[in-house]
Amino acid sequence: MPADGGHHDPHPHEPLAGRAFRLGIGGPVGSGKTALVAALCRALGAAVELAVVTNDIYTTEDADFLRAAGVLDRERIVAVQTGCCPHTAIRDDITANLDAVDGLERRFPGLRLVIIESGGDNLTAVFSRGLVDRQIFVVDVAGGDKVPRKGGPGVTTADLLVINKTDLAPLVGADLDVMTTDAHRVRKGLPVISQSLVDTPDAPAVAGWVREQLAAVAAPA
Amino acid sequence: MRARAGLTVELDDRGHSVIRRLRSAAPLTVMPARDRGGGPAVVRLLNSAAAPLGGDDLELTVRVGPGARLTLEGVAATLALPGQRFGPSRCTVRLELAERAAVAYLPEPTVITGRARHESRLLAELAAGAVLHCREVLVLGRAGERPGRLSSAIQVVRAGRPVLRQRLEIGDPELDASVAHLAGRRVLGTEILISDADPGPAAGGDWWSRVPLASSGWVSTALADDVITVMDCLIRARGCGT
Amino acid sequence: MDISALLLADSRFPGGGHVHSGGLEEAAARAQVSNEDDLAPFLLGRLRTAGELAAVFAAAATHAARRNATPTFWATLDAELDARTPSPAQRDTSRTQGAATLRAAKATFAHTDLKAISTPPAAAKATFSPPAAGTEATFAPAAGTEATFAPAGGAEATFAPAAAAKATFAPAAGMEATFAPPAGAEATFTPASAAGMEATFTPAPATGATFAPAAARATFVPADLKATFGGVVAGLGARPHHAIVLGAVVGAAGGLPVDAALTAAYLSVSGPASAAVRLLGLDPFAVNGVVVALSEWMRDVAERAAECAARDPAELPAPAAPGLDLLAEAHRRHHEKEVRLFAS
Repeated sequence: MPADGGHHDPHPHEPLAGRAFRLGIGGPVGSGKTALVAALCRALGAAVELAVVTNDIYTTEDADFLRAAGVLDRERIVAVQTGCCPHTAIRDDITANLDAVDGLERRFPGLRLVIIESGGDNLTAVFSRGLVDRQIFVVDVAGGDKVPRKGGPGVTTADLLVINKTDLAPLVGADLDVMTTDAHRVRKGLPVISQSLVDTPDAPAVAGWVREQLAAVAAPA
Repeated sequence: MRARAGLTVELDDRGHSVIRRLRSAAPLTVMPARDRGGGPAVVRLLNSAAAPLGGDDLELTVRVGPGARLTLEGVAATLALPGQRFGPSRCTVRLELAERAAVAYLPEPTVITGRARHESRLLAELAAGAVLHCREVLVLGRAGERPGRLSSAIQVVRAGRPVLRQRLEIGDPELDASVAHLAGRRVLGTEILISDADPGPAAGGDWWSRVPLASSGWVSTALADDVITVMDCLIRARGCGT
Repeated sequence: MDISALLLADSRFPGGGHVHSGGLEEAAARAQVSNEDDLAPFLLGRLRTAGELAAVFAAAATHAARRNATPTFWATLDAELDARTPSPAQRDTSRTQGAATLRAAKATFAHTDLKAISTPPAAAKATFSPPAAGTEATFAPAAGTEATFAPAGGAEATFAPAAAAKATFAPAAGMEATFAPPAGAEATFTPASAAGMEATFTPAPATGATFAPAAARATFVPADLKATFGGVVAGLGARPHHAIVLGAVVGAAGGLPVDAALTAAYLSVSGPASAAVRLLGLDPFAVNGVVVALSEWMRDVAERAAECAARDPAELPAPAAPGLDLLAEAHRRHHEKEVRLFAS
């Protein structure tokens, strides 16, 4: 499913001024954030110089996953300590993440995209606009088809909502149509993408949306 | 009792470190040890009157000339005994090292006995290229005894730049017991080596460490319940950088 | 207390403090701290060692900022704190937090609205208590201040200006007051219970002043905070120590050394206390009780730190914390091998 158009950005950003574009990927534990990060690295890595910051609770787990998947060099993945507060680290006090991004930008001067993965959220979590330029919220069908209806800032305000693991819908008895309809209703026109990384391992629709965001930054209106 | 002792070591014509001046002042007695011929001058610090006592004000000033070397060592465990008179006992050691001078100051452990009130200061001023090796081992009371009070300060300045300034307060039961301070351990050991050599990376175990200082040299620290363990940790720390 | 100090002491201030446990995580991993009873002595020890050191350097930095210290002075202060911080893990943590706090403070204080919530930068020392008729008043400008004091009829007043101070304060009966300390003055002006009073307070740039009128009609004309703040932070370097940033920010915003010192003392225990709640699931009410029980110690540490704020940096106190240093080094080593949720 292609991304919906007509997205009005309610939070205009400062010009990037030479720094890398920062993309936040949040969502509940187990919704497939890390798998999506890996897919984006595979889909975009050849054309875009990128790096990843992970806020996962255990410092090396996510980074190891990405390294093992062979999608990114070790030194392009940084794990931050969040002091038991992964939400605080991406929203209220973004210092540790800013430090991690700064460090990557220093080490890789040509960096164009930094993907910041949250540490597993509840539905109220969002990234600070002081940390990311755009953010994706990932939910999955196995988490229950009522999740989009519940809303919460992550579902309703993220620049892109991804409904993940659509291949599991029949197995868990989730109604995909209800999920997407609810999602569109609560998001009031913001884009929604449903996908299955089993069917499309390189997340082409999400990768396409990310390319659009990067292009918009490269050629501002 | 107020006592001012002094010691000056310089290089002679043959390039040997020799003692030019040696002044004891009871209870601070400084004794030259055997001449090792070409090695560092060796001076022993004797505790001739079971010093320090309460009210004592002792000061030892050590000057070491350019390129000269001195080892200043203790011969028996220093006891900081309860004072019979008013006020705390005070002991200051001043070390003045000229260019390329080297001093090893290795006194024996200091025992903070029950009613002691003692202030010790080590003030070292080093010229460029000078080398200072110091060790301090503090024991909180004799066996089964709660310690008195000790304020121990060390200050090292090298080529005009502060290298190390630390003041340790011992004898407040709450503070001694705190994990942040002495973690309830009875013995604290500290060793420093200030020189131009690469201090090496930080190393350590649960209750000891050897760390590079910000400007030059390293310091090792060990906490344990007995002197032998502390000494073992300090020896281990010394070996880490090599 | 100056608003800037309250901002910095607030755990919501985005200076990166929440990812530091001040040795608590390592102490908890060794079961040295596992409940509220263990936490109290840990925090007390921390306050009286690392907390005192931070308070001392925060106060000294506030003093320096209020006098627009030179870059050379800031470098000296930095080197002196380095010499009092033997553990490289502790130095790195301090500089990481310092850089983060400075980044947050720059962004925060560049906001022009801050003028409205901060006291102005300044310097003479004047204390003035209630100028209402029949009340007791104290006006005590410090050295470098020339002062005139004309209390209202019926007021009981103490006026103790030090030599060479310059200040004018003339609260007449009916309470119309003008208080204008010049540059280089440090002033506290506290007209409490001054109903019907009309006060004008115009501190010159580079004048330290606290203005806290209660129920008074007041005009407050602060100096250009942005300019002062910019001048101070330019001398700090890219990765200054945390305590020095705390003090410099408070000083640039017009707060007093004791404000910064109390903030530093409070942060030295509030951060680890919060970490204990998060790591060990301790009762947050009980943990806050432990922090409050340290109130007298915090005040004591802050007041003594403020007393030596004007000293030559070489003469500043140097309390050691062997236990914390060992915990910090061990935390750094374990970071590389095991799970650690906090950066320190």
